[in-house]
Amino acid sequence: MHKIKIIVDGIELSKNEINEKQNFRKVLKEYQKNKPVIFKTVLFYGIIGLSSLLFFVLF
Amino acid sequence: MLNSAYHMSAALLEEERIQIENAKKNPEKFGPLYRKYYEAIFRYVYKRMDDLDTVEDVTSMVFVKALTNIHKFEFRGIPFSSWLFRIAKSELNQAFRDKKGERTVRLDKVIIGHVMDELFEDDSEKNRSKLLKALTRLKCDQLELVEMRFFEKRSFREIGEVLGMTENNAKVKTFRVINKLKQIFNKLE
Repeated sequence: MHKIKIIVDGIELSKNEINEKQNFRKVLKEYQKNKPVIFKTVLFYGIIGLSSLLFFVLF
Repeated sequence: MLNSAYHMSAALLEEERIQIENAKKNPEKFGPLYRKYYEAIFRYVYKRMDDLDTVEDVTSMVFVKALTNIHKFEFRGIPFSSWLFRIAKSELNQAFRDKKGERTVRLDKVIIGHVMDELFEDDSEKNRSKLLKALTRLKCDQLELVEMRFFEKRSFREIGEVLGMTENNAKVKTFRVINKLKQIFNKLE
């Protein structure tokens, strides 16, 4: 079981204070690092698999 | 009063659907959804975590995960925020497993007063302390239901959509948790 900490009447952040923390550039940068790479996708392996099969059947 | 920001008109849902489709084609177009939901996701995380720097990191990671997986997102006529809250819940759990923060419940005395009025008869200082102690004895998934329903004033429909269950199931589970909370409360000295 997790230990749970209770904070009563703690620091209340305003809408502005929260929105000042927005950084969409950082999100895009992290996305670029994590985005799915084409050779890891099912579609890629599907196309490669089908092409190979066709190659063996036809030649 | 329930959280009305969640319940959107058909026109707003359609606008959101277009924003999602645009973001699937071009990640830069995710910006409007990011700006629209940043505060709500930040507050959701902040109410459950003690360290402000980690709250910022977790919030940022929620949007990175959402953007990375947006191609899998299927629009079902419900607000995009329910998917974001679901990611936020998962990212929070990951952060707790990685010991990046402590599971926290942030409340103010007004909310405690409302909960006391709604669930217990005697709103004395002693009983308020008992309520806080009882909350810490709940399991995390039980606590989540209490937070969403009583502290954040979410509808059962929204709770169900965020937690991946039907509205009726959310209602039943919440009532069971309330009974459990009352049992714990009554056993405390």
